[in-house]
Amino acid sequence: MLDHVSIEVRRGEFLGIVGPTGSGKSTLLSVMAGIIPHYIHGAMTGEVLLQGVSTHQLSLAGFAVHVSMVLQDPESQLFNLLVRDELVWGLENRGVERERQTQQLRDVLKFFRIEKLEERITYDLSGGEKQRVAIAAAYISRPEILLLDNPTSQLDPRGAALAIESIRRVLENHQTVVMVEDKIDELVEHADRLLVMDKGRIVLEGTPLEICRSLPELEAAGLYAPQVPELVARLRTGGRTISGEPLTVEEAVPLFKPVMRKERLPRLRASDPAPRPADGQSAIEVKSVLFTYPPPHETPAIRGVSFEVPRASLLAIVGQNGSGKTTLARCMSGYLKPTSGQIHVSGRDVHQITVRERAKLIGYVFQNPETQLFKNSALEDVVYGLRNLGARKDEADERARTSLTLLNLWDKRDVHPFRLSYGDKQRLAIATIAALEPSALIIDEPTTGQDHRQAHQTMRLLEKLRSELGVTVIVITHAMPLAAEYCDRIVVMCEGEILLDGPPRDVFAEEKTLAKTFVEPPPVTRLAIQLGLNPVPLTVAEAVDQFAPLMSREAAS
Amino acid sequence: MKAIYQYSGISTPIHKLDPRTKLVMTLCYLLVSFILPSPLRVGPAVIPVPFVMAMLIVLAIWAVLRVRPWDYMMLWVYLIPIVGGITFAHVFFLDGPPFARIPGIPFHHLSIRGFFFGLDIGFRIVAMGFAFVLFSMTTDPFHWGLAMFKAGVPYKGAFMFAFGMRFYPLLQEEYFVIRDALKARGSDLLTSMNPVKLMNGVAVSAIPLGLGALRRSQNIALAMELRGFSFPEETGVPRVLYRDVRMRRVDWIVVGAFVLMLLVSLVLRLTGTIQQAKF
Repeated sequence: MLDHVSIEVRRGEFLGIVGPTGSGKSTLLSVMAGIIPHYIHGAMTGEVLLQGVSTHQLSLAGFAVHVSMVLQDPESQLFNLLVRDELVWGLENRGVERERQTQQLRDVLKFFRIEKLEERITYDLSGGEKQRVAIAAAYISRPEILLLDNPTSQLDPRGAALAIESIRRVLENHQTVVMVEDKIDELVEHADRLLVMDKGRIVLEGTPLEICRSLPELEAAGLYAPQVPELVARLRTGGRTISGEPLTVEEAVPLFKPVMRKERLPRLRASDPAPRPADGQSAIEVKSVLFTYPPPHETPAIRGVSFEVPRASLLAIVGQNGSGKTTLARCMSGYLKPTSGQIHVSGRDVHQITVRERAKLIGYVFQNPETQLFKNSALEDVVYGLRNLGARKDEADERARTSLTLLNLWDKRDVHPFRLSYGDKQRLAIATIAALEPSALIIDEPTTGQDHRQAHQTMRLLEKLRSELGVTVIVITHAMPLAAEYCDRIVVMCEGEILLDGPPRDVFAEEKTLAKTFVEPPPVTRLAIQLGLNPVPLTVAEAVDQFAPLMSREAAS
Repeated sequence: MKAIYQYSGISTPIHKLDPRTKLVMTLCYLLVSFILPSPLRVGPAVIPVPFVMAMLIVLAIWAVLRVRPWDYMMLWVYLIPIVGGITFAHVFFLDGPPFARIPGIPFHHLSIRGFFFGLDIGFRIVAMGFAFVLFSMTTDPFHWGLAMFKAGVPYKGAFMFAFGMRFYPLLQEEYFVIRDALKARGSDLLTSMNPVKLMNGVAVSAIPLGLGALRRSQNIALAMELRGFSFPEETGVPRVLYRDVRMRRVDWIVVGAFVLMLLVSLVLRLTGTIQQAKF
């Protein structure tokens, strides 16, 4: 997992560690936290020194005095019922007197601005609030070193913003922070130094600026550079000169503004018309759907939503947690019956048909692939659903082969599903449903927990399902750059209603309306909006096409 | 969505009572339902005591927690066959004046005493179930764990007991996802009323549910250790608990009232002041 790694973290430094899935970055963090060798055992050579003391001489409890760690999954690190109890729990274990516990509790509630959460039940919090409480619980004892393992990867945009805000507060106190992330974007803005890992080794090391200059090396390690530095690099390659080294949209705007000539605005399509079904029929029709959860909460989750999804389209439903995306998707797939309204898939009322008929019409892939893999090999798992629907063995085997091949999993057909990597598990979960050949497929967060390369691979496969098999694909996602690049339509939900619905270019142009939902357009789109360009680009390639003619070589230089 | 037994987190006088008080209340209440004869004749009225006592808890859940009986319809669906089965068995197997004779079948004595006796047992079970629901919905499991710790249970044992109550809803949520994932594959194994299919479904879901729970519990155990769960044992520094449970005056009054109710029922029963209605 780690191959001859040597690093030094300086006191008060914010070190970011990035790399593709399986590159060893979380393992490195575990070594720093003492989890290896004290909790997870294995062959380890070399030495880790914490303030000059070898970690072999400390116990895990001894580590806890100096080092606190926040894990990826907020759900797994909150074990008390009330937020207050969760925060003081670490202090109780260390025998801190009650008066000091009270004082530190008050301080941390104020520091992270979570006073209102004090009496809340932990499992009732949103994802972002949970992670915020987890960071506060790790921070309450004022550790010298705070380690964060992918703290935002499972959060919606609002949740990620809350978590980042908490990390910013920690940084203000000049504490040593080491943060692991799959994606580089979150780190370039805040980190003092970045490490890029691949195959257990450190392949790049430097300031965020230095790392962003090394685009080919980043790409070789399976990472994508943040959009703004990539755009700048590509424009420079095309002969345009931009003074400065912007890493973020905010830094880029003042550098681009003086060198852009709007009278030469190139022609981009004003909006991409959503594809219409050839036979005039929609794949899914949602008519005035209202859904209220049963008592004691009786929360209205969907408030009179109506829309149609044309055949063979790739639609993204976006919005923050609690906006009703998953509830709507579950209504569309027949798992939840709307309080009122109707849903038709391929012309049939999805709530008036049997489980088997529904499985043939509309597939649903859940966020966690591990809850939907039931058999002892990948092949058996795909065959299982087909046999449930009455397919003969030879027919089931053939369709399973096609599906596994389509999703690049045929070579792994005999592997136990739980032995596959996370990305492979996710693709297998899609393969098990795609093999049933439903006319529509809903996928909840298809790219969560995947690095950039895997996420693009998954989206390309979904695009293939749409274009080659004519499947209508609906993804629920927080990954805006992916939605912008691959989807032909975006539905933005907020408080159970559809706030925006249209082609990505039109939806992302509505920046003010989007802000209500904490949905942020991709950085290049935001940059174009702030520069007053319209229509806006959706990808770096489009941005280069749009920006380059506006910047004359001589003026820019 | 919260399950019916989950701690409600609202503030009512019952929520504020010490967990030990609520335990004594529950035990006394259930014992009274066993001690009082049933059906009980009070003047011209005949009262099926366990039924009435079970319904009083249903009303208490409604009044205190604002959860209506039809909000937990599925619980009733599971309870009705249990009560029906117990009653049915006693009609055949308990002696007493028959209320019907069916010539030609071996069980020709259908016992009216058995019918009421079976109903009583059935509703005592219902009362126990609902009493547990009321207890768990009004008692913070960690408050309960703290009370256990004060009663001499080792801290780690008491904490893990409370944590188990906190962890169970997560497992339940995962079970629902697995059930729906099976539906997505055209299988109704976990929603079938056929017990054989249902058992098959349980076997199929055991892999993702078991492995998921195992992985999650490993992560949680690690997260606990990182927050110093074993620090007192490893270093000898005693743990200092932030919260405390203390029996207040109102707790003693409530305990006294329920113990008194139990004693009065016992005396009434033993002296024959109250009697079972004759069939």
